Amino acid sequence: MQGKLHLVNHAFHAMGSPCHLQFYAVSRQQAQEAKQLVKQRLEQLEQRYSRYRDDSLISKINQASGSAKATKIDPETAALLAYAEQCFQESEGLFDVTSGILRKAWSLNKTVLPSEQQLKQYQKLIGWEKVEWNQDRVYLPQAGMQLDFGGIVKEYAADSIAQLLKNKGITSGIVELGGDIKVIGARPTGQGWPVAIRNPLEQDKQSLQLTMTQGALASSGDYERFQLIDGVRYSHILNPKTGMPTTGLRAVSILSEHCVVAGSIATLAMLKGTKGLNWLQENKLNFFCCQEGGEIHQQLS
Amino acid sequence: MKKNKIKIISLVLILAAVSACTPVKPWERGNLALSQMALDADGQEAAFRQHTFYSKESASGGYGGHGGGCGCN
Amino acid sequence: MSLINRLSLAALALPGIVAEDAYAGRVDETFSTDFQYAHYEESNDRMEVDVFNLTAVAPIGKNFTASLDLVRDTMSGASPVLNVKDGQGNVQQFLSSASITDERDALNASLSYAFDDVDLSIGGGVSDENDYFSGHVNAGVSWALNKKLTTLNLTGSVAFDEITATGRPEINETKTSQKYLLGVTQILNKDSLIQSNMTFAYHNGYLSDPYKRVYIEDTATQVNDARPGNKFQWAWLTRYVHHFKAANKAALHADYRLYIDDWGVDAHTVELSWFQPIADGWQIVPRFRYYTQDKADFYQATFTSSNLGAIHSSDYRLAGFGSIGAGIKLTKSFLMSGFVKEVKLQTAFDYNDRKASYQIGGDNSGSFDDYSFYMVTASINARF
Repeated sequence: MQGKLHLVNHAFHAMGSPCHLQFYAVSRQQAQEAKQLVKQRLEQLEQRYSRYRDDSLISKINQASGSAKATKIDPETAALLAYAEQCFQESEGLFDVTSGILRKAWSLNKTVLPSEQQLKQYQKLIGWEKVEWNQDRVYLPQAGMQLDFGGIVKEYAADSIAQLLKNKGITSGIVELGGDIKVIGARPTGQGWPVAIRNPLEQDKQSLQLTMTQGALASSGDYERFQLIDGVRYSHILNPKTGMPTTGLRAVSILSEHCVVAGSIATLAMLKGTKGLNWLQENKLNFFCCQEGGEIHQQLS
Repeated sequence: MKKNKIKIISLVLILAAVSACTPVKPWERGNLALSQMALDADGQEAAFRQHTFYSKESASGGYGGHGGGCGCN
Repeated sequence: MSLINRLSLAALALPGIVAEDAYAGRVDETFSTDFQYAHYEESNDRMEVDVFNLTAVAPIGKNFTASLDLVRDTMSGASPVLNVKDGQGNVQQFLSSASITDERDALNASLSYAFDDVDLSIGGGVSDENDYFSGHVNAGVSWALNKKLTTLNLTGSVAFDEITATGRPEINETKTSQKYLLGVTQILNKDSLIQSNMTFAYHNGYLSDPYKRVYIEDTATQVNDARPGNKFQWAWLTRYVHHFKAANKAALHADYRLYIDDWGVDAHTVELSWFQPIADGWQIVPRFRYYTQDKADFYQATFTSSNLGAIHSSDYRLAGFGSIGAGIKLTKSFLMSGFVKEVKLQTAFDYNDRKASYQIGGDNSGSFDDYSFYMVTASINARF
C-alpha cells in the first residue's frame, strides 16, 4: 500500500455508550471517510432499532402490537429476528427478545421489589413463540408486547462497522462500542491490540489483559447497571420465566469470532444464573467470569 | 441392452432428486451440521464394513472409497 | 457442531457480517488420528480376521489436506473350496484345511486441495499379501453449488493387481480395474438431505479364484474355477438422512443400493440406522441390513460334463442368497479445551446371517453354503 500508515484514534458516543475506534489509515482522506461511514451506519442502526426513539422501526412494530396490522420489515430486520429465534432455541426460551417489558417492573428508580402480581402482568405479554413473523413482516399479537433488540444490536453494530471498514481497505484496527469489541485486523507489526477486562469487584482495577489479533470480545454483567434494594444488588438482566433478575454470575466476558455471537453467549450465561459457569465450561467456550461471591473463573485457549 | 437402460434411469433420477427441495436459510443449517447427520462420520468403520461385505457378496460400489483391490475371499 | 458454530451460522445471515474466511477453502483446521481394531468371525470354524487400522489427517498450509491410512489384516481359518454331492444326492460344501495364517498390509495416501467451492483430490495406495498385490491411483473433484446446498462428486480410480496362488505355481496373473463414481448430495430442507451415487466399474484380466474348484458329478472329478476375462459392474446407491428434533435430535439413515453386473448378478441392499444421542456426548446407533442377490449366469452348486462349459464357478459368493444383519454401535465423545480438542471412543457389534432361503425370488438352492458371521469393532479418534 502506498502512503505511510498512521494511527487514527476516534472516541465518540453512540448507542448510549462511550465508543472508541482505532485503526491505521493511509491518508487523512481515508480516515475521514471511514469515520463518516461509521457515523452513518451507527445512525442508521439507532434510527431503526432504538427503543428510545418513537419513530424507529422497533417502536413502530411495538406500537402496532395487538392492532391486527403487521409491520413491513427489511431483510436486515428479518435476519435479526432469525438470529433472535436461534438464540431463543439455544437457550430453551431464556433469551427472549420480547422480555424487555419486564424492566418496567424493575425500573431503576424503584426501591422496593415488584410484587408477584406485577410480574405476572408483564409475563403475560412475554413469549417469543407468540411473535408472528416472516421475511417481509412482523406482528406482535397482544397489545403491549414489545420487541427489544437491545441485547443484540450493539454487538451487531461492532461487527457491522468492522466489516464496513474492512471493505474500505482498512486491514488493521479495533472497534469498541461500550465494552463490546471487534477486531478489524492485527496491528501492522502483526501484534494484537491490548484489551483489558475490568474487574467487576474493583471498578478501577483490571482483571485480565489480553492482546487480540482477530475476533471479538463481549461482556454482560451487573457491575455497571444494577439496583440496590434493601442492600441487595439486583442485576439488570431479567429472566423471562421467573421475572426476576439473574443471580449466580456477576459478569461474563466471551471471546468469539463475531461480536454478536459473543454478546448473545455472554447474556445467555448470565441468564443461566448459578448454572452459568457449568454451561460455559461444558460448551468449551472461551470465557472469563466472576461469580456472585467474587470467585473468578476463566477458560481461554 | 441393460447398459443403456441404466444410463437413462440414472440421469432422470439425479435430475428429479435435485429439483425437489425447499431453500434452506444459512441460519437454519444448524441441524444438518450435527454429527449424527453426517454421511461419513466414521470412515474407518465404514471402510471395514464395506470391505467385509464386498468380500462376502457380489455387490460393491456406490460409496466411493479409494478403489484398490485385494485377494480377500 | 458446537453452540458457537450454530450461532455463528445464524449470525452469517446478518448483512453486516461475513465469515472471517470468506474465500474459505478447506473447512477443517484440525489434525486428527484414528485407530481401529476390528474382529470378524464366521460360524462353523470358518474364517477369522483381525484388522488394525491407523489413519492420520493433517491440514497443510491454507488449502491442502493430507491423509495417510495403514491397515494390517491377519486372516486364519478355513474357506470353502468346492461343493460335492454325497451318496444321497445332497450337496455338501467342502472347506480348505484351517491351518494357514495370512497377512495383508495396505497403505493409502491422499492429498486434497480446497479453494472456493471446489475440492480436488488425488491419492494412491498399495495392498500386499503373499499371493495378491494391488496398486491403485485415484483422483476426484467435489463441487459445491447452489449456496452449498448441492454438491457434485466425480471420482475415478485405476488399479493393477498381480495374482499368484500358494500350491499352484502356474498361477502368475494380472488384473486391471477402473472405477468411476458420479454422485450428488442435496440438502432437501433444514432437517434432511439425500445423496445419490452411481458407480461404474470395468475389470479385465484374471478374475477367477485360484483356490476354488467345481465338481463334475458324472465323472466325480474337479476342475478349477473359471470366470470370464472381464466384468462390468453398475451400482446405484441412494442415502437419505432425516433429523428428528423431538427424539433428542436423533437422526435416521436409510440407504438403498441397486446393483447389476454382466455376470448375471442383480443385488439389492437396504440399510437402516438410527443415531440416538443420549446424555452428554453418548450416542447409540442400532442398525439393520438386508441384502439379496441373484446367482451368476455361470454359477452352479455342482456341474455335469454336459453343462460345464468353458466358464464355470461354484463360489458361494456367486450363488443366489440373502443376508440379514443387525448391529449396535456406541459412541462417546469428549470435548476438551487445550491441545487435544476432542477424543471419541466407539465400539460396535454386528451379526449377519447369510442363507440361500433369504433371497427374494430365488430358487433356494439349499442350505449347504449358509453361514453366519459377526463383527466387532473398537476405535479411538482424536482431533487436535
